Amino acid sequence: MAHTEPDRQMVQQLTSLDPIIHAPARLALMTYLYVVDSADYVFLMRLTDLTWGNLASHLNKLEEAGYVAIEKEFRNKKPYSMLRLTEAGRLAYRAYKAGLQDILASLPE
Amino acid sequence: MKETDLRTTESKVFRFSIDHGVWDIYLGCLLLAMGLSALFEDLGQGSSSAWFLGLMIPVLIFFYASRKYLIEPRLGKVRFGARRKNSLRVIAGLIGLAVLVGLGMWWASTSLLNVPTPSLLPVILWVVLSLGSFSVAAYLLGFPRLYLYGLFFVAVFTTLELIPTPALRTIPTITAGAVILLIGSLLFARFLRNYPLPVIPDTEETHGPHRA
Repeated sequence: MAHTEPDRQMVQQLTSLDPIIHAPARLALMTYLYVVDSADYVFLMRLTDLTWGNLASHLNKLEEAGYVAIEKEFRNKKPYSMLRLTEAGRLAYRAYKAGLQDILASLPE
Repeated sequence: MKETDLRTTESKVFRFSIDHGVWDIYLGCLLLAMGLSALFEDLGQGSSSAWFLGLMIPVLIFFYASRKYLIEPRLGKVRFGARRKNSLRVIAGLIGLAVLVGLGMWWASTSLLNVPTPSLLPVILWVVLSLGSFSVAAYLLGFPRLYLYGLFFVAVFTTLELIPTPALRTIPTITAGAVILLIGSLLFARFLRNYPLPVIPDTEETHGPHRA
């Protein structure tokens, strides 16, 4: 069945959403990191209820995309990692949010 | 998602990070220590200041040790942005001022003047400061129970000033402290039950999951 013009526009809008952020777990991680300065792995695991392995996998993807930076610190002479959104991550999150809002606004009641 | 929704999310994250009951335990112990030390002095068991310090030192040790060894390993660590830090500075300043005024009044009524002299001005000052600081804290932190604690602190110090009978005047302080301590203990027990130590592979403990 051929798409009408408004349908095609919506499909284009949907496919233009950032697939890195679009996964629910990564969207939650990006949202939490957007509203705080930085957090460690355990705190993000508690907030999202993800398993350690899942969290690692999603954070890897976000780090590879350049959205999350891992900052090493030393506490009691042991290396310790804090995560924060990079500037690229903040811009991508805002763009994703705006795109999603446009799509939601165009949906029929 | 509007900016206000993100603020709501930030507030939820903040509440999540501090709603473990240890702050309640600290506030409850503070009131209990003040009430008990005044009572011991009234009963002729030494100086209230010495009792207060003796009771508060273990409380402070518990406060810092529990945050470092019980809460942080279970909950993790988070740092908030400039907006949250500013609101915390406002709350800390107001509570610090209220505590200083309260301690001054308590000190004067228990150590310097053996029989408290009812005086309206310090009572009014205390009511305004404690209600103000606890209300601002409750609003900015999103913790409704701080309104109740503010009322407790008001009741405690007004009765400490206005009840002339030495043995009776500490009862509201001790009761309020015990109630807040009970609330804190229940919250802390719930926290420990809900958040056991996470099982993290040894090699990843300090580096994070993918930094082995």
